[in-house]
Amino acid sequence: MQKGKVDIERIRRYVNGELSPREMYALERRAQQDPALMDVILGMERETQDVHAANLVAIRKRIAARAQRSGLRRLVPAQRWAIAATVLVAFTVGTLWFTQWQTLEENQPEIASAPAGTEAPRTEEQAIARKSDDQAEADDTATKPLPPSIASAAKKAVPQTKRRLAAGPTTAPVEQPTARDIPPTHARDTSSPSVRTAATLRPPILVDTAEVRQTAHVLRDDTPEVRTRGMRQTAQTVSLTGPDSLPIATQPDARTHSEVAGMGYGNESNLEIGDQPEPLGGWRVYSRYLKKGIRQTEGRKGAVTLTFTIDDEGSPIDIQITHTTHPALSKRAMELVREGPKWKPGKNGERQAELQVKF
Amino acid sequence: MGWLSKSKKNVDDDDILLRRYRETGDLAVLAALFDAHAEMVYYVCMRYLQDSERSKDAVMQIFEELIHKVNKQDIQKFASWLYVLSRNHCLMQLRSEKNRQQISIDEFVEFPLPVHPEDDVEEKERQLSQLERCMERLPEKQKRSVDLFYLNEKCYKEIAEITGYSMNEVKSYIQNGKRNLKLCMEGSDAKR
Repeated sequence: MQKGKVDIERIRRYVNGELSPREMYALERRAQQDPALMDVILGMERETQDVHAANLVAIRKRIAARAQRSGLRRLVPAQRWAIAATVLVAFTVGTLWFTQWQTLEENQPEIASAPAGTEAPRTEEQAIARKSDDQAEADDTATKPLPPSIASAAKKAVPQTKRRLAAGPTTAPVEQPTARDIPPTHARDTSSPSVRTAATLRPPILVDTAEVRQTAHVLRDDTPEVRTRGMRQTAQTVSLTGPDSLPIATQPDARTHSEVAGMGYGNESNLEIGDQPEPLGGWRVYSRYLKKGIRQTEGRKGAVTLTFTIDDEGSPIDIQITHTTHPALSKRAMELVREGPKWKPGKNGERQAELQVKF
Repeated sequence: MGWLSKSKKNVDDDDILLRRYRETGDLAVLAALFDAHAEMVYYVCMRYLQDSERSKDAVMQIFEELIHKVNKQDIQKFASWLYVLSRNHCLMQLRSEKNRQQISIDEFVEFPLPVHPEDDVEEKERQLSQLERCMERLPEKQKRSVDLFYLNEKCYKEIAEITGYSMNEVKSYIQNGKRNLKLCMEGSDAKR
């Protein structure tokens, strides 16, 4: 007999008393060395053969049923993707809502300045083409076709161009459109996307989307490359070939773009991410911890922003709520931070931290 | 039920089915493989759980465990591997029970007997005399059962007839006697 492969028919004959004493002894002796054999013998002796037979029929049926169900189970990967996609969508919408809510009072348009950017250079070109024409008419053309959702940057850009045209129509062709440079912090204030180009207009140009956007529409008809960069997005480089507008889907930056957003760079300064205090063990661990804690706080939804200081031992002290949607959530958020993992100061010793906990 | 025969073919079948399952991921293949051993798994469960309803459920749980583990482990001999998986599953189940009155794990036999170095004749002689001393120390019923089984090569039934003990008594005397012998031998080895 193969070791490990139990000869069940022989055991059955043994249990039924059909074997000779020599055969019985041989099996018993072998069972002393082979635990599998021993177990099967002892197991079989527990019940009558009738019970075993009925049980085995039932077991075989169950196995067959289980195997058939596997046909359905093959859908599972697809379902998993569906769930993942749903979660991603919900998450994206949630984050978008969250960031929009943050800057609600600033009331900024949903879509970046793509159409505006598109219009500005064209209008300008038209204007240049008609530089001998009536200036007022050129102005009209410049302002008229702009869609309602233009960002202010582009709005400003157009009059500028016009002014330039008005000043010196002969030099106008040399000028390139929409060369505005707005520093990111400034951009936050106005909450308008800014398009930064070098005066000489060498690619790539930088498009700073000051707030989180899912898409940033940018058009350049003479620029092969556009680079976008958002505060909470990863940088993306996209090649431009045609003159039409090109949607650039930026990837949310996992580090800050999570449900629990670390915001050391809030309104106090434009700290780099490395400068703000970090939880010991990293953001991933910390946000997992928070999520777990949040799951225990059932029901109410909302968000709490709090600031705190890291003491010498890394514990968060002096925890203060700067914004909350409900006092109960504030209490829970403070508990979570106070009882949570320790922190380490930022690279340059920054001990102040700001954190948003979203329920 | 061809799988019950002793032929080498069965082992090959196991290997073929296992390989095919790993290639295709088709659960029907794994079910066929498991089905061939389901009886063994069931009896192992019966032996430990001592209840046919629980054993039926345990067989299915072991099948689920098999699905989970079959691709994660290197399986040389499927039958042996499945036996260990099944036994461990049952023991875990027993261990996790708060009420362990049904059966004590201590009752289970220890396998296998320690292998003694047999190259040294003197050493072997010493061990034999040690074994005899240990045998003498065994309780009478254990000594008699072990003696009849190991030295006189009598089967349980014959021992029961000779001694008048019940079959279950014979089995437990042999198991306990074997364990006591082992402890006695280990104890003398340690003292040496």
